[in-house]
Amino acid sequence: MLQQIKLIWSQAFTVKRCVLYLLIILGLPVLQFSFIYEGYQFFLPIEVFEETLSGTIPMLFPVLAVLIFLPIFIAEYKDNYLTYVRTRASLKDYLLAVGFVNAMLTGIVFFLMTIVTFVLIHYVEPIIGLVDYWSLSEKTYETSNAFSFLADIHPLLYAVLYAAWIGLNGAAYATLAYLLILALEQVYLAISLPFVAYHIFNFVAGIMQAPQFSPISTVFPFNITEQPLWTVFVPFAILVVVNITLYLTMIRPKPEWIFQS
Amino acid sequence: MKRTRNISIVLNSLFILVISYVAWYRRQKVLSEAQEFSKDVNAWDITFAIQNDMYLILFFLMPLLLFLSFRTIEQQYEPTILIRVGSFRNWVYYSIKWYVRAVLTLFGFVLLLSFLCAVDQPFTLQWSPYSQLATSGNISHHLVTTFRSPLSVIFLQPILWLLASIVLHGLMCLMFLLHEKRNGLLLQAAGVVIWCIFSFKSSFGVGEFFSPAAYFSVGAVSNIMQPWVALVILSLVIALIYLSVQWIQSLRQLLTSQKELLPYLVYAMLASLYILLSSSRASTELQTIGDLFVAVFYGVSAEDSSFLQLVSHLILFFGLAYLSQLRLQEQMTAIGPYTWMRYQRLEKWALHVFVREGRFYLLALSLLILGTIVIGMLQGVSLSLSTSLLSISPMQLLLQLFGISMLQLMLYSLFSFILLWQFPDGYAMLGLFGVLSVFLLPDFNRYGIFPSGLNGFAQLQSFSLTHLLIVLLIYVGLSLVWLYVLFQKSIRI
Repeated sequence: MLQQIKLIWSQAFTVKRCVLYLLIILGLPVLQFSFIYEGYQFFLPIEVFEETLSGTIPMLFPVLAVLIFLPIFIAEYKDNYLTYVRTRASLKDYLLAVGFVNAMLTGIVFFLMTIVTFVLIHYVEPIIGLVDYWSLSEKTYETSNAFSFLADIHPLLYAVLYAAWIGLNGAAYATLAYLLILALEQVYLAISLPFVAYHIFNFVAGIMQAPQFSPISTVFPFNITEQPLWTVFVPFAILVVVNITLYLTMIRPKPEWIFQS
Repeated sequence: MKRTRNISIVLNSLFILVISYVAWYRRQKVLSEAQEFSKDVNAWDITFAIQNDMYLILFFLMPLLLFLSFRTIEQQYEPTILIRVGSFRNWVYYSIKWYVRAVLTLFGFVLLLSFLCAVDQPFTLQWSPYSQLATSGNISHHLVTTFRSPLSVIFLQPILWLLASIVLHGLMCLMFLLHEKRNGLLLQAAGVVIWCIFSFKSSFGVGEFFSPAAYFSVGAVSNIMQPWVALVILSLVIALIYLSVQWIQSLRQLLTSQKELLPYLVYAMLASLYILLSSSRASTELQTIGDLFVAVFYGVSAEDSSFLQLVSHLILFFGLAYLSQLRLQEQMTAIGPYTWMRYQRLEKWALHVFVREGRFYLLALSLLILGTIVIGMLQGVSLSLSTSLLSISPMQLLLQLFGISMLQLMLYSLFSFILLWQFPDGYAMLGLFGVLSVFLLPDFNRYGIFPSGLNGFAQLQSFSLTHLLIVLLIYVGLSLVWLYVLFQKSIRI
């Protein structure tokens, strides 16, 4: 099992894939930063960090989660690779290893994206001086969010725990897409459903005037006023329950031979 | 048998213990609050505080009621009983009868205990001075604004308990009959509990209205509507359950044979909900159907954007494009090679596909517009296409609504087709939706040159109709040339 995880993990580090990870870790935050570093009123680096993680990244979040590792598995799946795995190893172990690598890699890429962005904006950017900060005495409004209490303890604690939260959510969305591929056996439907569900729940939360429970505002809680911390766990808990239910009802009961490529 | 009896004794004792503790706690709270503000209480204050304790209802009674419903269905749904009762409809009556028997004992005990806890307080037929006290935890104060006498509350409460229990179990039975799975039944019960807690915690109007827990408390019901309306609603739902049970066989067949209809139904439901809510929310500002069109199909632009407008535009138009994509995916991968053979040239096949998708968009847009008109008429707005929200003529409004929307939607399909042709795996199409949705964000499409969301009325604040038309036509032209080149290079046929 450990050997399989190592093998699958090594497959995920081709040059092309590393470029993709770098684009996600650095490219997207830089793109968003280029839109916001001028023309906005910032008082603290943490506000620049939060604005950099708004807009593009929340919009693409489930798409990115699916694109990090799953294309490798989809290519294998479409090439009937699973049929050949069966003769050499336990397919259940193999699928478990793929699921593990998918969740881990997605989580790590999102974690790095967040933490690197934070380090660059909080520690490196003030040296370069691209952003003109306003004096705190001129600040007339609050910009706190559900995780801000961590920043009051230490900014790095906020960054690490928030990055872990993003990573955890990324892993959950990637796992949902993976489980759907195995359950539905229709690749496009499976990889698009997390994105569709993400926006449907954003929409439903919006029209029911409960944006504090929308997936977008719980993973990236910068577009709404400060909410109690428990609210961010509601969509996440639903996502975890859906994943577990999918696994228990549609994947686990299947005998090994039933998985078709 | 003896073991089951022992478990039952333990569970009953636990139930009595919890209810008694909560009742005693509520009684002490009422008494201490009355003492603090020097107000006299009477028996009703304590009785109603216990009966309307939402925490007791949500976290104890609801799970218990759902457990009883689950157990009743699990025990009663077996072939011998079904044969005996003869039909699903009779089985639902039979099951409800058993369930009501079980819950009557439960509610009887709550009623008895709520009286017993108040037995040492004065009994009058009037509201007490304490009920005039406006504190957040004072249930009597909420009731006194709706009910003249405490007697009407005490008569209404058992009726609500009975009707709400019938509705809860009836709906559980109805849902269960659609899938007949034990795990599904468990999920149903868990879903109801989570929904009730979510609605209570977030306190939003629609949620409370649809929360079954609210209908077990006169206090909660009178907070959101007139109590008699609640009785009418519950009676109507019972009538609806009765009607649905008559058609349960047809419903089951429809669900099993028409799985492909599900995405369309979800889309229709979301679109209707959006049109309904946005029209009622903005009803004071809307005078004409034209105003309503602008409000519903406003969309977003680089300068004018909000969270709700953004996700609504995504659902309304990207949703349509996604439905079209699902069909394209099937056309081009699963059954593609078999249909290509019927056409002598790929271009002819592509034209056939696009004509079909165009018809789909036309039908969908017509239904959206028709739905908006019907809802507008129900809201009482005048049937005029002029609008005071934007400085555009009725003709421009129609052009944006139909012409630009059709062009925009066809362009989404063209992009999907091209990407699907080049990358059949599908994640390129997902990326396409991702990139197009980014262009809907504020500041990203400042010059109106990216073909995303150009059909929203918000775009007319910054760009002329001609500008939007030219941009979209350029993209359509370029996509067609690209597609032609792809077909020329293709060796797939």
